[in-house]
Amino acid sequence: MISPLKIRIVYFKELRDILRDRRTLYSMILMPVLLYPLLSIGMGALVGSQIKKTRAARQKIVILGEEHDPALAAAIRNLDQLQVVPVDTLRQALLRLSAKDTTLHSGFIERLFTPGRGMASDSSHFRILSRAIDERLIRAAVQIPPEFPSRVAAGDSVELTILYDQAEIKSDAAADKLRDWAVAYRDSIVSGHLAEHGLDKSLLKPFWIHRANLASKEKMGGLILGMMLPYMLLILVIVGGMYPALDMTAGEKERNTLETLLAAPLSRFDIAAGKFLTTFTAAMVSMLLALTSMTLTAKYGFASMAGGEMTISMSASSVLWLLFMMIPTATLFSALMIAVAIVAKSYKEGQSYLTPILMLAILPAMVSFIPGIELAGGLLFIPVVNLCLALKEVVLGTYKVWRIMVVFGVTTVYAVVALFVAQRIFERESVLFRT
Amino acid sequence: METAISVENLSKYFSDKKRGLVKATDDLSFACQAGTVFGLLGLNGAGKTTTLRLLATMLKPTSGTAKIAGFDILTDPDKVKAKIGFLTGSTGLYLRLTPREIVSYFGRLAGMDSPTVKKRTALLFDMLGIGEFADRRIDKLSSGQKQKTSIARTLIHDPPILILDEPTAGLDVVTARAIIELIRNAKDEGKCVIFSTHIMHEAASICDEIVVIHEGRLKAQGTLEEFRRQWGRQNLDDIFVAIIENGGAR
Repeated sequence: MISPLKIRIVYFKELRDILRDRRTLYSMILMPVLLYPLLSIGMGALVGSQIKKTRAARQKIVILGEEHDPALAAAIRNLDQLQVVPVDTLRQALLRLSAKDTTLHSGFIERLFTPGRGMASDSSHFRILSRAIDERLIRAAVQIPPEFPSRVAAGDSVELTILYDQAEIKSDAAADKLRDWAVAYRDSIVSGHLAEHGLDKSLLKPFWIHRANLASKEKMGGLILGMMLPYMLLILVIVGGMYPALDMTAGEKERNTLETLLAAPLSRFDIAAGKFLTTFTAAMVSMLLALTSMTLTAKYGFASMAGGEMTISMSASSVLWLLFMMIPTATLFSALMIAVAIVAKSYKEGQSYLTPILMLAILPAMVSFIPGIELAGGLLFIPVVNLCLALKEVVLGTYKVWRIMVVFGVTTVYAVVALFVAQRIFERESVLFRT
Repeated sequence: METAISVENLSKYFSDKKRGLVKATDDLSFACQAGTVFGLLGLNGAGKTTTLRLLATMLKPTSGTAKIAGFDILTDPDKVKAKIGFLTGSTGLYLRLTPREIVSYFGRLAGMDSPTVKKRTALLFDMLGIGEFADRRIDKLSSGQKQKTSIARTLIHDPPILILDEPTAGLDVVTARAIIELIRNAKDEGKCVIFSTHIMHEAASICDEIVVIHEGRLKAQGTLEEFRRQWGRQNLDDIFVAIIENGGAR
């Protein structure tokens, strides 16, 4: 017989019990509160400052074929942001390396750095330069081809090569600086030619191209939030409910308290319902804390990071829709976790059963990171995927109420099925007395 | 005397992957009177735990039934559970709660209102000497203190029937003695105590009536005196072995 009073007694007891559990407190309160700020501000700031630092630092480069245009080489040397390593220093360093490493052929090194030997174009030369970058002897190289000034003057199309390693951010930065300088240098030559013929340099650019971004700062911010938020909310709902679910089921078995509860005058349904409600509460609390933390972080932390190009904020109605959607979601996962965890004999075994559930949710949740996927057709009915896309729409403000209601309805159906399954599993003797 | 427990052709079969069909409890019938201590004797795996779990309605019988304080375990499990106190030697307690919280939890689950729970808790804590650690968390208590808490938890709703499954198993002498005292007191109060054990001297010293079960079946039933007369031996250990070896037929 179902007794709301007994469900309530179980619920409040379980709540009190898990609130005294440090593990639950970590996963239910500390993690949701700290995860997002740490991730977004911490990581964002770190990445941002690293990029800035890299741009500000002077990267070492080497000039190959200096003898072909000493004036150009001197101009490069004058650049503040780059430090030119003398060819001979690099040659010596590489020769020292080649003494220990047979793959680095000293003959090739000598040839690469021999003045007037032509272009570094074959793969053996590229390998040596790539190695020099790996060894951080240089970050990039610029190669001046033979007869560069005379061919430029003659209007020949001639190539100035920048050699770098795009996989290395510092090498990439050095190459960017070299290219920016080269473009400016090229423009100055063209302007000179134009001036010689009495023409204005504006001829070069008869018109400017301006791309005007119509997206509001909110929408730009929403783009980022729309990717991260559904994913994070989902994980936090699961992680927030996971430890209570485990503790109240497999944990009770392990500590030999479940038998006592089963002998007490209340139905299995009451027990299952009380435990489910506790898990659900933990999941929702976790999610609410995360949402609050995210909103605050976004308001005070994120905007500065994105260079003021986006504002992260959500309207009150968006927040309400999010909460509305999370109710069946938390129900679904709480019921699933209870159903799975009660099968386990011990806390540890339960953990290994629940990890796949987390995985099962995380993988489809990645859909919110993929641009261009829209909530329509069959996707409306795929659990987790539909939810993440709907949450994304809510964050972006592009949602339609009917689509949200469909996803809500579908998720509710799944949640009810999960509840039913959990209840059935709770009735099974072979599960409850599995030792 | 009033019949507290009557077991009628009670059977419980499990299907086991390795062993096939296991008849854990096989066609058991017996009755226990109020104000008596009833011992269930058997080797490990004889079916004692299954039988007691059936009586406590934790398991559903494959066939047969039992009446506990007049209520059928099949049709009135909730009423049955309200009439029993269930305890095993390995019973755990919620480590993060206090004795007071645990006892009150089970009192409330048994349908008692808060004032009644409070009154009864005070009485039991006083009787068992729990007062000084009543508000300390279980994980800070000694095994003896935990066992006292378990006893209070079992008795909170003043059940007329106690079902104790190897209640002294794994306990030290002092703690085990507290359990024996619990059984004696319960009997004095007119409760019916059914308890399983494989410790013969324990059974010999407190049981009014003994049932020997082996491989799920009832092999012998009677008082210790009847057993002694019937089997011509004094020691319950010897009698027990003789019963098992002779298949109970004499």
